[in-house]
Amino acid sequence: MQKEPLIVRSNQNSHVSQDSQWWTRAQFINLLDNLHPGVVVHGANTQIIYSNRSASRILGLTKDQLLGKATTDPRWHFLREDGAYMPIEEYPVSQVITSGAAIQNQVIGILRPDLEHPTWVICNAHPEFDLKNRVNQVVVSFTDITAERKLKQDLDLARNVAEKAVVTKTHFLDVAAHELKTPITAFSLLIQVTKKKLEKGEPVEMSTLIRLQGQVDRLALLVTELLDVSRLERGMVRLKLESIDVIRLLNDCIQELELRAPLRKILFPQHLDRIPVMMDQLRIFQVISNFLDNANKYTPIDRSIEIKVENQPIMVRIMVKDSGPGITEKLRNELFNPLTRGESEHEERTSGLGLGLYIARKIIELHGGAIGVESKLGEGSTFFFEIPKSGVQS
Amino acid sequence: MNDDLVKKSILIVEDDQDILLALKTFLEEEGYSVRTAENGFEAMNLLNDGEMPNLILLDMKMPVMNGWQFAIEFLAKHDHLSPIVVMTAAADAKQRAQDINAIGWISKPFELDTLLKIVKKYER
Repeated sequence: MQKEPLIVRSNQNSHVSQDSQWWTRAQFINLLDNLHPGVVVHGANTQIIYSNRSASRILGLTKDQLLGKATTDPRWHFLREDGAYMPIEEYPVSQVITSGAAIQNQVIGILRPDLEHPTWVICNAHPEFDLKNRVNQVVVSFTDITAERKLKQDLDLARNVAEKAVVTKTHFLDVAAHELKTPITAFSLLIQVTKKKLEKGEPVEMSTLIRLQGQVDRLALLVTELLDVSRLERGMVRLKLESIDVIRLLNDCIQELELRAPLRKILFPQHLDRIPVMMDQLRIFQVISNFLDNANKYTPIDRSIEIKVENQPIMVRIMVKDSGPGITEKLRNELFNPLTRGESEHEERTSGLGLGLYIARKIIELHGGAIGVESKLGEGSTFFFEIPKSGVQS
Repeated sequence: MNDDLVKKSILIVEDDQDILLALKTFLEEEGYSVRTAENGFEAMNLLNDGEMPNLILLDMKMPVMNGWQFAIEFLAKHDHLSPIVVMTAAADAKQRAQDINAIGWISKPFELDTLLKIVKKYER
């Protein structure tokens, strides 16, 4: 009801005094106090001669505390939009007094003595002049945008994370293409050499065929890994849970490794009691095989690999201990993420996609379990996982 | 080959044994004397005898000592005594060759006949 004359009032400065005659002083004070933006009026000496209720709320000072306070009070700190301290000559009041011109929509941080984080405001200020055209008042209004700014920062952060994920994905595609090209190159070169031999009437050797088969197997393995990751990341892998004896499964895995590495000594106690566990047999086999393959790869041929099982009340824990070089703490944290190897193009050392442990982690997580590694440089590493014996609880 | 009596020599540095074998077989058929190394470290050791090859075919991604590390050590020790041609599956083969001051590059996979042209172009 009181708001209508206010709209009329906004046309011309000269009308203010006329319009204000319709209002009592109390009504004005009430109206200003109920405004959402903070309003502060400074005198020519920059001392505050009026402030509304919102100003007290935003600045964290009572009206009594505010009145008489100068804008250059050392307990106040203003920040620029980028977070740097704002010099006094950039304060809105100083700027308006110096230039005699208004300031529009300046973003300012206010460091309140009672709050750890700055309060951010968007600030407008304009001068009022006396009859001799000297600035005699500066009217400053400001709206609290701390929440909006926080939201924008959160969005920026989320966007950065998303952009980084895209870069990682693209980089991953580069690495994958690179890895696929190596067996393709070997395959192609062997075929070309064989073709040239055939053209000269020389026979194809069995060893060449075996080499070709090896490169195709390698290609197939890479493609399977890629598909696995894609399906696991999209949540397309459904576990086929059944009760499986972990001891028998471990013995199967060991037998399979012995086929590929007949000289390797593997320590695993015989005649252990059955430990039935609800699991996807093929997937857990895949995880254990990955552990054993890695252990085999990084352990010198004259050293052994040790396998341990801990039958706990709820979980079963499988451990594979190697006598390899050990893993630095930095690498330990990254090991179960994709692309740990070949992360930097100048650090490319070993072939492969480096996806094995990432896939293992995803499989164990699907089982409601945990995966990890303990390692000391020079003392080898122990890879372990544990899963609930009664199966994953959804 | 201008001189049938003196074979030109090539050093292949490549960690994939099948690629190594195919290239060695092919280049020997073409009349080159071929030495091979499975990583940069082996290659540096081979070159300790002081016999500089007429060309080095260098893979980039290898264990122990990769192509970058080899190129740095080689240039520091032997300057540009042997021209280096980079063999890489990377998308930016040319850039990688420039990174290590190599004279040429070939993108994997490649045709043996293309390789032969490149070898003949850059061999010393």
